[in-house]
Amino acid sequence: MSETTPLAAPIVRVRPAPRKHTIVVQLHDRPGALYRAVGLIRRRDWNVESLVVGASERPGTSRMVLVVMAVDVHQVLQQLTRLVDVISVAEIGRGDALVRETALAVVEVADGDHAALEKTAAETGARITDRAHSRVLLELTADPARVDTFVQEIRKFDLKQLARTGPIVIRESDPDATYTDPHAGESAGAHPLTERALTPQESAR
Amino acid sequence: MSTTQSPQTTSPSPSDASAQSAQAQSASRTGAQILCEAFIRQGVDTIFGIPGGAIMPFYHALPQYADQLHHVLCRHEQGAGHAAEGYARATGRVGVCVGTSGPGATNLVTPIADAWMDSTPLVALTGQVGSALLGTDAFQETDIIGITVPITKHSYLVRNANDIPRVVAEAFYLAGTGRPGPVLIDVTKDAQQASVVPNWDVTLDLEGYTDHRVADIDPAPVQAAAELIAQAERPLLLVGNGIIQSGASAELIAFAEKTGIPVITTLHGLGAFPQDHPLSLGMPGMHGWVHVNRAIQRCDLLINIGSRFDDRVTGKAATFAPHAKIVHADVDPSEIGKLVPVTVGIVGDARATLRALFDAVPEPTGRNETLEKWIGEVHELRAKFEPRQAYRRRPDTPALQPHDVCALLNSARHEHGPSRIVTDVGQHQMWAAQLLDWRRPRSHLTSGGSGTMGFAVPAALGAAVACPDETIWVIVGDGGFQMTNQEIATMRQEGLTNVKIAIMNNGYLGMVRQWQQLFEGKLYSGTPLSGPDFAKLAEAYGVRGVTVETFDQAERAIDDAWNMPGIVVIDFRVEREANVFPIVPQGQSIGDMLVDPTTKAEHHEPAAAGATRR
Repeated sequence: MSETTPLAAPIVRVRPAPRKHTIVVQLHDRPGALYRAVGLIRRRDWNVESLVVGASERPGTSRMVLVVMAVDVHQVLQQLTRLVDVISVAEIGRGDALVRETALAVVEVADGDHAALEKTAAETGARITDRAHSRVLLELTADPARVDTFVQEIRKFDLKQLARTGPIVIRESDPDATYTDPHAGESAGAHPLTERALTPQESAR
Repeated sequence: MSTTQSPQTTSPSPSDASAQSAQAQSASRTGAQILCEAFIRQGVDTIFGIPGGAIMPFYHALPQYADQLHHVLCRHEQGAGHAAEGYARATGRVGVCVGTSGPGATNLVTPIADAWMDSTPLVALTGQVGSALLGTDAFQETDIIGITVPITKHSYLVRNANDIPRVVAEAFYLAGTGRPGPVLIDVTKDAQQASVVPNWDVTLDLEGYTDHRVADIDPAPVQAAAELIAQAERPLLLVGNGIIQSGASAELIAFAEKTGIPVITTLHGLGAFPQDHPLSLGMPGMHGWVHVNRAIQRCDLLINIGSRFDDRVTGKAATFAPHAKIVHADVDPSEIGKLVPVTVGIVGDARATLRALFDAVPEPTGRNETLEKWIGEVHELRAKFEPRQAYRRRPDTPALQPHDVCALLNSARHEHGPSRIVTDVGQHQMWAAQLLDWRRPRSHLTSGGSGTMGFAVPAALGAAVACPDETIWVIVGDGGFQMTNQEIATMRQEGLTNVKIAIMNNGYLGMVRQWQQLFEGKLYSGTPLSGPDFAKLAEAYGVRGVTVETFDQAERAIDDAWNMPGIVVIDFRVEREANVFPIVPQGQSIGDMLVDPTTKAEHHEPAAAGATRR
């Protein structure tokens, strides 16, 4: 063949690093629906950071909020959309939704000295819900970053129990828009696979 | 059933008949009867299965519907599942398989997975233990829905007979529309036994499901694709199963001829575009032709219609088609951009897409010298590399070459009536794909995505039932044949005579052995394989068995098989260490192929030790 034909610059596809994704799925409230949806995550061996499922505004449907660390979330969103019981799928980007999480903590306070704990509670916005003897129950509902701070601070005490819900999410407008990519425009294209030029070594192959 | 027919009436008048029919409509019947009637309403005429405890009520009802619903009793549920797949793949209709709970259901898992990977429309019906026993580890209880969630399009656990009409209607709709696939219906024994009055006036409750086959094609990406075609200097069409599933071969030919773009057909696309067409290039990928893979690596526009960039096609995806802009049209939106980033994605049915593309590209005006130059380049490569030839007998070896068997089968096929070829998985599958001419959609049935050994014999059973006027040839290895050959007994019980089985017997699990030879220092671990005398085994099944060791015997045996009615098993004792070339080592670029070192002279390439890297 004629090896002289000029070829355009080769394109190589690279995968970016994993990042945290918050996925909201509205689905029919039927046996097996949740199992199918979560199965798509499990299949990829991704760890689910949090999963919250509860009623949505529409009877017979649930809203599921899933937080995962992943690279190619685009593909999983497409496959979620494909499920028969799934009505809508959206990824929530930073700042385009109201995000709330609840944390509950039980702290043991020695000598009945509650002053330091009360100060931390006030600074983090947590509420002291119950004081039984030397154990104090704290509660906070806030955006996940504030909950992170609260958890970090409360660990400085004698923390006996901690429970977090994982975030729930609501958007004022267009709550069930089909898949949108909040990262669109961040890199060369909307797709998680981005394109770059060949390195000299790769060109040599 | 109606029990109040007037005793005087021997041949009911039309009005009596409609009165009876109205009565039949309102009479109560068991869930099992409703299942049979629901299948018949879906146009099902044949089901493949095996009874057992939890599905017994269904089998109790079946004889009442025997004239409309033919049951093929298989020898293993895996066979029943593959037979239903063979039926579906040969006809395009939804295949149906049936098994009982527990092991009956788990034996169906392999064909369900196979149907999932190859987008085969399949409904699997399984019996389940009584609803009161669900979750209690009852006898033969298995959570088959839980097991099959990742490999089904959808599944239903039916605990109430009233749900059966809707569930069956939804299951067939889901299995056969959009991107087809398997749907499981798991029915508890009590739901099969319960008596209810069926309500056939059902509404499908599938809000979350979109059948992208019937959606209008978005004109914007079609226009964008047409512009890319206008700019392209080295365009290629890559087509797959989607063309066959949507019946788009005529549209594909028209589009290819209008644009002059050469066509590559994937394993599951074989037959979608006639290989004797001047624009046909052949199969790409791991065992594709060198010229096809080279063309992909050099093209500047790759238009993929109805294939999914499987890793056996792309090799190392990062280096696949490195100079190409990619247009990908698929009925499943989740396939677009899954493995290869696309410049233009088109969601929709292949036929509708091709029609839209056809209308969007201008009529050719005179000669397109750029395209002619490109096609000339590809044909130069083809002449250099394509090892296809009628015969590959090697004078220095008396052993029968598997390539010869394929060549003989191919030439005989074109002399006889309509036929379909069912292949299993492994070396013989690739030889058949490479060396036979595929000219007709649905004439090549194989297990692609899942690579299920044992597929061929039962799938041929299903195809033979579906196409009684055609000859169904099975090409299978001695390994795969030993997995499911018991379905020959099913063929006999069904009185089938239109199946011919060619065993490529090399005494190895050949493809694994080939990898061990090429990549693992010839350490043949777990691959040498003995077997029974297949000709005698065939006779034990009551069919003709022939052993073939030479080229001349092969010629005669194939000729006899065509000319004599009845099932025949031909045991081709082929050269034991014959290999499939060319081959792309797994995970490498498809531009990096190994070709057959023994045929190096044909390629006019310098000799090298072992396999030659090009």
